[in-house]
Amino acid sequence: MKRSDLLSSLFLLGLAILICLGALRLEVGNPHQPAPGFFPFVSGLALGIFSWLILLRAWKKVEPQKRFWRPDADKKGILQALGVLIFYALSLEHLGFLLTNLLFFFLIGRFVAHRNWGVAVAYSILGSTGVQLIFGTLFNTPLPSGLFPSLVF
Amino acid sequence: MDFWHNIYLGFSVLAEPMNLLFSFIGVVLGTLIGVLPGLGPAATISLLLPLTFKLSPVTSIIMIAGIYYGAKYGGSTTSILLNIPGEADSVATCLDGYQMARQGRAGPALGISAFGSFIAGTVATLGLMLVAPPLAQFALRFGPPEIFALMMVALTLVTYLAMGSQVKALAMVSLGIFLGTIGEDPFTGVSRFVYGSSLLGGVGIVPVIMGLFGIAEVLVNLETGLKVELFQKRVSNLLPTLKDWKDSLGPIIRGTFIGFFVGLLPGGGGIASTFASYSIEKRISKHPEQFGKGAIAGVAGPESANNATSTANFIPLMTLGIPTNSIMAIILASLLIAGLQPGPLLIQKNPQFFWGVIASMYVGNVMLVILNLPLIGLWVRFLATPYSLLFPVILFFCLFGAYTLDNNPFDMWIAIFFGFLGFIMRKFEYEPAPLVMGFVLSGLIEGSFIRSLLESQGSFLIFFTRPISVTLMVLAVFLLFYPLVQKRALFKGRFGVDE
Repeated sequence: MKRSDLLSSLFLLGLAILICLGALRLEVGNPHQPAPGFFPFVSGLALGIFSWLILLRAWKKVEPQKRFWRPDADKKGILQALGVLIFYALSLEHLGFLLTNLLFFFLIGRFVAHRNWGVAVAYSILGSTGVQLIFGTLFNTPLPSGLFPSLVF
Repeated sequence: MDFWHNIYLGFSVLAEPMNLLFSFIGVVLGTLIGVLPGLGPAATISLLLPLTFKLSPVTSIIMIAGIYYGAKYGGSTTSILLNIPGEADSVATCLDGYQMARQGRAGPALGISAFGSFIAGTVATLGLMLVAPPLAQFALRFGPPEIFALMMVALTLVTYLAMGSQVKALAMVSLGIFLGTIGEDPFTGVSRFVYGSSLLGGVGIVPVIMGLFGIAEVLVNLETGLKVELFQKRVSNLLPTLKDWKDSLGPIIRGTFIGFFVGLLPGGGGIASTFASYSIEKRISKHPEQFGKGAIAGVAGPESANNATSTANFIPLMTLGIPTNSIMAIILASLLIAGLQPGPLLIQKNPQFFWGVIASMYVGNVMLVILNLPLIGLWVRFLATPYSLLFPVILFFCLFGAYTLDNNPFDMWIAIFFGFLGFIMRKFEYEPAPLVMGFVLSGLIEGSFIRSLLESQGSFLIFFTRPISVTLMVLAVFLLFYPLVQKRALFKGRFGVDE
């Protein structure tokens, strides 16, 4: 049994069932008069069939289990990177472009790229100023000002 | 007469300063990202998609095409000097290119790679110019059933591109098709799977691509801890000797033709063409024992094939609307964003666009030879850029690029979600390319499928009663089951019994 395929196929199978149920709620119609749910239902059905095939093969397959993480994986780094991305999405409109970028480049540089404090601060200042110049000045993109509108130039 | 008129038209479009400038920017960026391991053309083009909103369609596609074929040139530098394929398509170049570098012959390896790429790119552009218009003319006969059948062939062939399981690739295609149905139903206007108003306009292709290719790639690289070590820091004697040319000319010509024909096939990628070229060169060589030990033919053939494929990939895209790989799927998305519908009518309705892009390929290849020979030292210096300085910038462009599409924070969440999903998918050995293909083609598949059913009053026989459509459907079914038949035959041959 290949555990990774078993888990992923069960997830996809569940998703396929949800898609089909959602499509049925929208109304499927029939080939003569296809309703809005007809095509999503077909795609859900196809996903279900292929997930079922993956499940069957995973059940039969005798293979050494592959670990999810590599032995030397920087798990903390990946989770921190995801955390910083979530922080960015949450704060861009509230803190504004410049401040969010300052914090973003600092957090990534210090905690994900593991640079020392000085380099992380320098990287943060250079990075945020650089992108401010590119988007604000060069491309004239409307930037979110957030709490400090005067910081957008 | 038409031929020369079209060439004139193409070059007059390219002569506009903006088009020339963005052609140059495209090839420079392409070379740069080809050189830098950990940043591929798919991620770069995704990052630049928001910028293309501000450009005219022809300018943006000229730039994107430049990035795509420019990356093929740049990829060889990393393969030869670092033994790391800067691009997946450059794997075959590592085999002999790196061995040449170890013997102090990095210069001729890089030189023949650039010249071979130039010859192949130019010949393939000529092929594109000659093949695309008649093919588009033929495809004008296609109605909804033929288009649907063609899409089935495309999706089936795409699964051949998958490195791993074909069934997994088909599951991803189905998931991609479903994702493409989210939003407004094109026939009735009913909202589907929107759960509130955030998804009313559908899931944006750009944040999905940025997540799956940009963010996910960074997460994968963070896990593996990308480290590079430069073998030969100074490169000299780039011009190949007469003997090098003698050994390389045949492989360049064969590689060009192999690459061009593989590139025409939906699912035909650079990896397939480079390995096909490499194995043919090895098989017909008088000294096959030299392959893998620094044979220049092992660099010239695959590099030429690689570039010819990248140009030929534009033929199915521009004439039939079929993207042959994930990057073509992103280019298809950018064409749609620009308001152009790739397909049989593209050349007829937008001759300036088509011939402008063709002209840019000729000029772009010349720019690339100049960039990759005299300026090779500059690219070698870029190889020393630490990835830890690059990836924060990539992440920033993914997030802010997604945001600037509509100034909507929800697009950033989509990019993050698909970034995480792309990372998990890679861990579970599912590939993102089939998902993107399904997603991009979803609208076309649904439209042609429903129209065919309406036309036939609900009869599925419509797909099997029209000559072109039945041929394509039979081909799709054959391609779908061919690996099974092949596996069974192999099993029988090996053990003499049925599985």
